[in-house]
Amino acid sequence: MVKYYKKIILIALSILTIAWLIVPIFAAYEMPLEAQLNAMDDNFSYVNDLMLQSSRYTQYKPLSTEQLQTYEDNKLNYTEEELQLMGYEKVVTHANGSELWFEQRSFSVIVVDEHGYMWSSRAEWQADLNNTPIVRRRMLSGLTIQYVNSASVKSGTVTSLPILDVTQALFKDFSQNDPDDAIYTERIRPYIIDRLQPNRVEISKKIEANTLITTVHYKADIDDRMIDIKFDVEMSLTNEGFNVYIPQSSIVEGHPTLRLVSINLFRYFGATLKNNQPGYLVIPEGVGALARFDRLQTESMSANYYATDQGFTNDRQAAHLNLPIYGIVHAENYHAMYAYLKQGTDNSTFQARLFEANSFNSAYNTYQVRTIFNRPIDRSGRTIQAILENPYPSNYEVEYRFLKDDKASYVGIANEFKDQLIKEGSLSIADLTQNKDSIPILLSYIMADKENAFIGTKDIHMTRLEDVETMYQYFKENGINNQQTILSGWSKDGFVNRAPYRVHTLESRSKFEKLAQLIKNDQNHLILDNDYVTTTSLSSRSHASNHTMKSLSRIRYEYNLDDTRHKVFLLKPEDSLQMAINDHESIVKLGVTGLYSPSIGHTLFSSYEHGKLLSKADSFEIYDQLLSLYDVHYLNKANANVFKHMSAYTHMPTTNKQFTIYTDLVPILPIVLKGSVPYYGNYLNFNEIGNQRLLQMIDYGINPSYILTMENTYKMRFTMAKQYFSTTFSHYQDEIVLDYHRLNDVLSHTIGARHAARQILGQGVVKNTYVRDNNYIYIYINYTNQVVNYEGITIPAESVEIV
Amino acid sequence: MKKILITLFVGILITISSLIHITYADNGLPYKTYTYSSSTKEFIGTQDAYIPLSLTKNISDITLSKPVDMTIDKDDYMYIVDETIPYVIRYGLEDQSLLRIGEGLIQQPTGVHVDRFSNVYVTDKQSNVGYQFKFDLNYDINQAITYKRPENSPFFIEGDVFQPNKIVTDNGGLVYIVSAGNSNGILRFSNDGEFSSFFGANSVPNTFENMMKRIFMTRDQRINLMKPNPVTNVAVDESGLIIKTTKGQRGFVKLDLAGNPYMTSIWGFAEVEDVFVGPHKTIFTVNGTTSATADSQGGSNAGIITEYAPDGTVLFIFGGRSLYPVKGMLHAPTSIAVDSKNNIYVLDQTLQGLQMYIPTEFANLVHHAVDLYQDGQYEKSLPYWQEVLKMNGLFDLANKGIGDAYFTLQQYDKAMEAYMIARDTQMYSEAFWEVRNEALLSSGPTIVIVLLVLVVLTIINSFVNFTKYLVYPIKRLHSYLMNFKVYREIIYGFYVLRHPEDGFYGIKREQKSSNLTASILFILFFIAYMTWMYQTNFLFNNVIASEINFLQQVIAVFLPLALWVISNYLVSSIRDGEGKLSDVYQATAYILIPMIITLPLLTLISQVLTNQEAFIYDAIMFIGLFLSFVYLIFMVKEVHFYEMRSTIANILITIFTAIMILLFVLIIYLLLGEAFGFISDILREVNSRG
Repeated sequence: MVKYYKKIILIALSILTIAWLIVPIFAAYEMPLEAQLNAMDDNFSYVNDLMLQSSRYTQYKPLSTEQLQTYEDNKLNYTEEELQLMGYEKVVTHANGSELWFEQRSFSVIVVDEHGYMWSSRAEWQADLNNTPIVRRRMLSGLTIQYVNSASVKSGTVTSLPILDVTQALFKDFSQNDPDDAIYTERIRPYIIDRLQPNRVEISKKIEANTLITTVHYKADIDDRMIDIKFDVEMSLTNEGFNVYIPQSSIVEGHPTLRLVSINLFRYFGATLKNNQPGYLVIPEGVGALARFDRLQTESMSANYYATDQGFTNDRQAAHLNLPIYGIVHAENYHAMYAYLKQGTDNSTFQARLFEANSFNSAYNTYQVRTIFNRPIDRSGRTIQAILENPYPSNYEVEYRFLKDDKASYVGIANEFKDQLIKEGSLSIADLTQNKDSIPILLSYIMADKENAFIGTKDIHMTRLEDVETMYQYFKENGINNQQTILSGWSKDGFVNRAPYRVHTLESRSKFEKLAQLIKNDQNHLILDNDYVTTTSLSSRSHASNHTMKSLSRIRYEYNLDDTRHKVFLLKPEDSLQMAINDHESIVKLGVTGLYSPSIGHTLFSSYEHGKLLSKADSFEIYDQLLSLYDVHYLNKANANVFKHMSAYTHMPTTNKQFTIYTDLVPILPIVLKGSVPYYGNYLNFNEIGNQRLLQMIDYGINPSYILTMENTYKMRFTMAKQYFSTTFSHYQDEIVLDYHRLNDVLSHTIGARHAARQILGQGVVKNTYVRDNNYIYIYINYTNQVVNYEGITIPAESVEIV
Repeated sequence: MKKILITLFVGILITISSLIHITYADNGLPYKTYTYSSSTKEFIGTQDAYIPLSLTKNISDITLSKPVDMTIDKDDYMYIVDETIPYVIRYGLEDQSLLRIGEGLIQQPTGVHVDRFSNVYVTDKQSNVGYQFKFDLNYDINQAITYKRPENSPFFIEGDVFQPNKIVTDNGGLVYIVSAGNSNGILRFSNDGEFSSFFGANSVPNTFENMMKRIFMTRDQRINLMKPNPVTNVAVDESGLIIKTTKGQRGFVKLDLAGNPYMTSIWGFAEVEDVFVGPHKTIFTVNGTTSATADSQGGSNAGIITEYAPDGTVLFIFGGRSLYPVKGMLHAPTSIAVDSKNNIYVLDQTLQGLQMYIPTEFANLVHHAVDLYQDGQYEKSLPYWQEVLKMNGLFDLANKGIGDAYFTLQQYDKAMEAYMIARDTQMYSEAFWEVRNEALLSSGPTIVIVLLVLVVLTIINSFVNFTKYLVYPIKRLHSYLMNFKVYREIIYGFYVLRHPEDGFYGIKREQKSSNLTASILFILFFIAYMTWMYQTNFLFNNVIASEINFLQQVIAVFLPLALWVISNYLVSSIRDGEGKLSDVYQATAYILIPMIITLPLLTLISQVLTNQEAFIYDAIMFIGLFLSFVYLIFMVKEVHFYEMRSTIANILITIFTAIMILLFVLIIYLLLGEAFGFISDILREVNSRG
């Protein structure tokens, strides 16, 4: 027995000894830094869920049987007899089977598209609502004008006149149960107009070449005071869809002081009631957004097309749409339409609202004939409101295009519009990366910037041309062959806030030529950064008094830089062009491939020059010449109007402005550009969300981009380039190689392919389908922190799988 | 002190603007994130630290209407009070549980707090009391104690306001109630409801206006009209210290146990609405609404959230107010709280909801580094700070953290480099002391040898006098240069230094100087001044070279000198002074000679001194300034041939005249500006209306 005790004690002692030795070893063990950093990211599971359910991701909302049934039940399906009883007449029929029905008194239309689906310009389903006649007048009016007395312009005095409001339309009273009323079905009764004041608005119409041409003459307001505003509206059915056109030249204002401000045409076209249709609005703002019809939302959103016109406003927070379209999907993969604004992007605003008080989800354009703007009258900032004397020189033309089945989605809309841009010559079918077997990376190098010195400024050199060569070779040796290079701060004029730069290079021309040759030998681009649009008081080339534009307030457009000591200006377009022309020869002699323009792609403004208005269209005409100077042009956050000049899109947003009405983030812009032009994301140096950003880039097909310096960023802390607060090559050299290959391993399979479909398989799990030469490539992206399995494919947490 | 003296000497104050403009970021967030660099006194852009996640208008089935205060306890239960909801909403962030506290008792809650024992404290505007609620053994929560208007207290008199608005407790269980509109401070109660005293009152700021009021007002008037701003909100940190914020005063103030300021934020907004201490001991504030005008123009700082490190340095500034309905932007924030995962929650009265922000990887990294740093684990924090620095090369705190880590590792050279970037003069000085000490110790033998050699050479020199051969070329040069008038006049400056009375007499009566020489001396002074500005070690010089404006410095130096010369000549002309304008001009140049010598000397010795020997630097600076001032008196006396009394009077009147000239020019400038502006306004209005 004692023998056993001895053994037990021996074993116990041994265990204790081993434990004594091992425990401190374990205690001393620390997780590697990477692992510790990952552990820090753990948040509550509900937060992770909330994130994936937020408008920062595309939502998993499969259509249920009930939803589809409700959708089917609520499809418009008026009979011809019902349409006629409501006052519609069939005015145009197209060879593809589409029909246009027009109701003159309310200026409403119903379009039966080529697929037989019915679209109305009215807020339909009035029978389900209990709206008062006054509300109904507004909802059924297909046309509303806003005007103001130019003798005392104030936003608050703008009068809005829906056409049925001004004619004081009275609806038929069905409460008497008149036997003659039996011909009116319940659903059309709220639309039956009994009588109205015929003399206040006169509408004449004629049909020419399958086009309905109407002339609308607002003669008097509801108090029978003269208005005398007249304009034409032309409607036609085309191969593409339903075209609506207002020629600016047709606008006639007979009253000596009343001036037309804006026209709302068909503001409820495609609108849906509450959540009857399980669809969404498609909004090309930022990378793209959806606003689903599944919740009450009291806020709305509005945006200009392409750019906020700084000629009229100092507002720099306003959103803008980067494509001239918006879409309404009634049920994904069933029916959808998108509105393509062919003319009038200069002065039209887009508005979207989800159902709230008036119960409808709608999206529409407002044709802004004139803009009310503030004109300062003294130094203290007092302003008076003013409008342009003449209408803004731009027509309005919108084409509603109808999609069905698998095209009836945001992906379908984006691809349809992509085809339109290819047709117009704004996009090519293939991008420059097609002849490569790897995705491109965009590497920007800051050569130098200015720091204040004892007298004047001194150059802080961050990267020499030979350093660029060293870095280029380093990345090449590490398997990155498709490198596109941008040089910033190459001029003696400096870099940040000092554009436009003169071609006074910091280093000799021969060095530029040598580098250019090296890069060109690999069929890559060497691009020079110069901004001919935005300038500041720090620029040694532009002068506020001579070169900068004046807004319509007739004062110089300016705002403070962040440091509050310097001002930002916009260059007069003709000066922009002249400077670019002056530089062109010298830049070409440096051997570079082309130009990178940070502002021109998303800036467009009206201005006041020599006593007259220079419209956005005039500015664009000049910019068009500027952009034509170079064959290769890298454009920053470019809008569709400059796509034809664009060799590469830089700083692709990975989100949008996150308006409260948005429910989903979707890659509309990437789908449009995919396979046609390379697009690069924001500098990954400043990626604060780590792996999620890389997954998003794979999801959207975005190529990587970095900004680098050979010297430590700290060296430029007293220059304006400090805004790039992390650029040191030695900090990023490994990360760039690693991230590039991670992205390339997946995205290289999609080079030159079309982004054909994007399915949400589950919350946070996306399946992208790409097509190239009839070959299908499937990429599964798992944003969640769980391993998931869909369609027999296992996708690790926060990872991707390619099939 | 040195800066103040020299600034007085040159007569110009240079101010630096510190406004912040919130704009849209590139990455899709509706705001940019900044940090505040204490070293460059600027806002530096940085990676986004928090991402807006959601805006919630309902807590479970309760719809928020006028939410006013919120807190989150250690178990991640969120407590919200809404003025229109007569109870406290307790919501479990993890288990989504809902509990209504004080239903039937509370009428119009305004403030809520939870102590470390999970007791809940509420202020009720309608009942004008504070309540304490305790969980009993059955986990039912019951009202336990009421905090009422103090009675029979010598500290709380009849007219004092008692409108409980916010409430916190410290680790000792004392209860602190902020009473709206009460300028006497925070009301401190014992836990069982007995009022003890006011605590942490603000003081009346020392503005010029208030100084005048103190002089001219009676005691009663001062009591009635010179009230400090009432405390706006309070929080308690992990060690139980109270943090207060006050509308109209920037940032926050941490109070010691006696209620005196213990630590203040390095920088902050002046409209802080609420303050909260997060799980990493970092301090969060949210800025409230400002003026309606600023709001309407979108230029207000409302809704900006600031996160401070525990020592009050700024980590992140983000958020703001938008004119558009976008997620992440606030309109009228009322309260801020942070859960154990560092998710931020902000109540907004206009949005009638709860906005939530979640930390990014970058924020998590910074927090982890701050945790280690605050625990004194500098060495461990090094890789984290290095990672932070990689992500933002201009992040001040990272450089300071790295400096501390290297200091702990006794790598003083590297520590100095990091401290210099962070412009941490205190620690730089200590690291430099170590480096210098090491250098001195290691070069000890060399120093001894050099000294021995010098001694031997001195002995040899006493026998053979070889130094005369060494100084011979210098003497020859001096003799040669003495042929030149300018050289003689400059050298005369040293005579003035030794014999100021005779020296200035010589300038006036014996033409010992000329306008040319005086001009050269002025230029020499300017060069010495600029060298001092640029080259003085940053331990003694907080000016950033790249921020120096050359033109500004020219004005700063030469304008006061010119004003002095002109004023002194004018004053002495009517006060029987004998000096001509050229005499005053020349003599003034000579009074700068002490500074011409002192400033380069200071620049040189600043390179080898640490803070511990700062008195040497200060003493030399004082001597230079003092001598210049003394010579100024001699100059006026001798040049104008005054008695001492008249001399002092002349100097004072000269200074007064100089100020008057400056004011006159300023007024003319302003009037011309107004006249020009008036004409331009007329033209602009005619143009606009025409």
